[in-house]
Amino acid sequence: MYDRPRRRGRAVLAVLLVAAVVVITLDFREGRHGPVGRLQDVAVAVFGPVQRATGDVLRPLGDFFGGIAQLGRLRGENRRLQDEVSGLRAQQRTYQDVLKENERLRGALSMAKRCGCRTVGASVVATSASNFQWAVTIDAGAQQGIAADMAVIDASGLVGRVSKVTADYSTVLLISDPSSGVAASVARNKAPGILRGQGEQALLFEPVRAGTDVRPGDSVVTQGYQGGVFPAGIPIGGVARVDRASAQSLVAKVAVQPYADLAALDVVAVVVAKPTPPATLPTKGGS
Amino acid sequence: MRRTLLLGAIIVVSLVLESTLLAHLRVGGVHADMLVIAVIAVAMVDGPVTAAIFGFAAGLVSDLLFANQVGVSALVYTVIGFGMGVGRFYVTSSSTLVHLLLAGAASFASVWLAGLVLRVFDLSSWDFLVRTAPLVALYNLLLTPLVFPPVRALLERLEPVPTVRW
Repeated sequence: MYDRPRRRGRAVLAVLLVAAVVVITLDFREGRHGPVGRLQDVAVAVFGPVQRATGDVLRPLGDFFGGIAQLGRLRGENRRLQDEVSGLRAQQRTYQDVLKENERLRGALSMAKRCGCRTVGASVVATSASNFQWAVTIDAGAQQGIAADMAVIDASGLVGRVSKVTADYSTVLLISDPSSGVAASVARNKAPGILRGQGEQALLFEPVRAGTDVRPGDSVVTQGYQGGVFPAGIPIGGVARVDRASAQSLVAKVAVQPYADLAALDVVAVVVAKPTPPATLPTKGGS
Repeated sequence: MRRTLLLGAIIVVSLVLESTLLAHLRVGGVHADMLVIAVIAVAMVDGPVTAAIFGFAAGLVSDLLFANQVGVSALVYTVIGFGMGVGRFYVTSSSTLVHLLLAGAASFASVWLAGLVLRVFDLSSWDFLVRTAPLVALYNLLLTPLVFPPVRALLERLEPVPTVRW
């Protein structure tokens, strides 16, 4: 008596599972230019305005509860900052010091100008719903000159790259996403490497050459090259820890803490035009 | 028809709340998975077939909006929806605690299932799975009393779906 509905149920399950596997395969093989990519464009275009409107209303609520959730960390940070402020107040600042600090702040805020890039500003309207994806939706799209693979920065440094674009909205794949890889170098000695996302953990910098000199505190910046996604010299993060090369790994594994607060992005800038890097790297002492 | 519209609305509301409000409420680096709770609620009321279809649709829309590997959430939520729908016939207890534990267990399973599929594409790590799955399960446990009852109440107001024992 119950066999027919049960058979139908199993058939539905089988069809859905096969459909899911087909979608995964199609997406893997054809990427954003295939039918799944086009469907993604439609989904982002439809949901973007809804997410923006809802985000505007709910963001204060989210920030409030988020603040409660991070109360312990905020207390510690508050204490540390107060100590820092006391230390700073104790110092006698000269006019030149203040000027230099002012310059540094301006430099951080005009990141785009520093790298000689032309940018388009955008607000973050939604964050990835999955615990396995590190991406955000911004309220700028093709109509504002955004295209796929453009670099995205904020006042602190590199944030990610544009992965999907619709007319008015874009999806930004953050540098913390495990599928993200950025050509980077150590600012101090220009040692090149690849910076990979590890989700909530610090970024992983893998130097290209064994024996590369990397130290905690070093700054890691983007490395520009012909046809590359990111402009050269954008700060990405600071080296937090160095695990030296071992029998298992020929190169050191370097943990890099991103400068940008990727969990609390608000306003970002998309690099729509970047300076063309030189075809060949300048040699030391060369004219 | 009204049921289909309601299920669609539940997907939209869950997804919007998850990507705007819950995304900012990260604890230990993770946030609650509201969609999986909605899938479980649908499974407990409507059974495995509707829950599997609902899970597929919810996962696919979520993937299309954010995922780099589209289809993984659709696959996971389909399995969770069907599994919970079949499992409801064997849960004789009406205790709230039992349902909460079921929601926690299903959330735990969904993280592991998604993680295992994403391992194929090298987009997940064992460390992350071991650390994340219990946190998401715990977080979802806390969210379940807020999501489960309204979804269940809304579905039960409409005409019931015929029950078939699996």
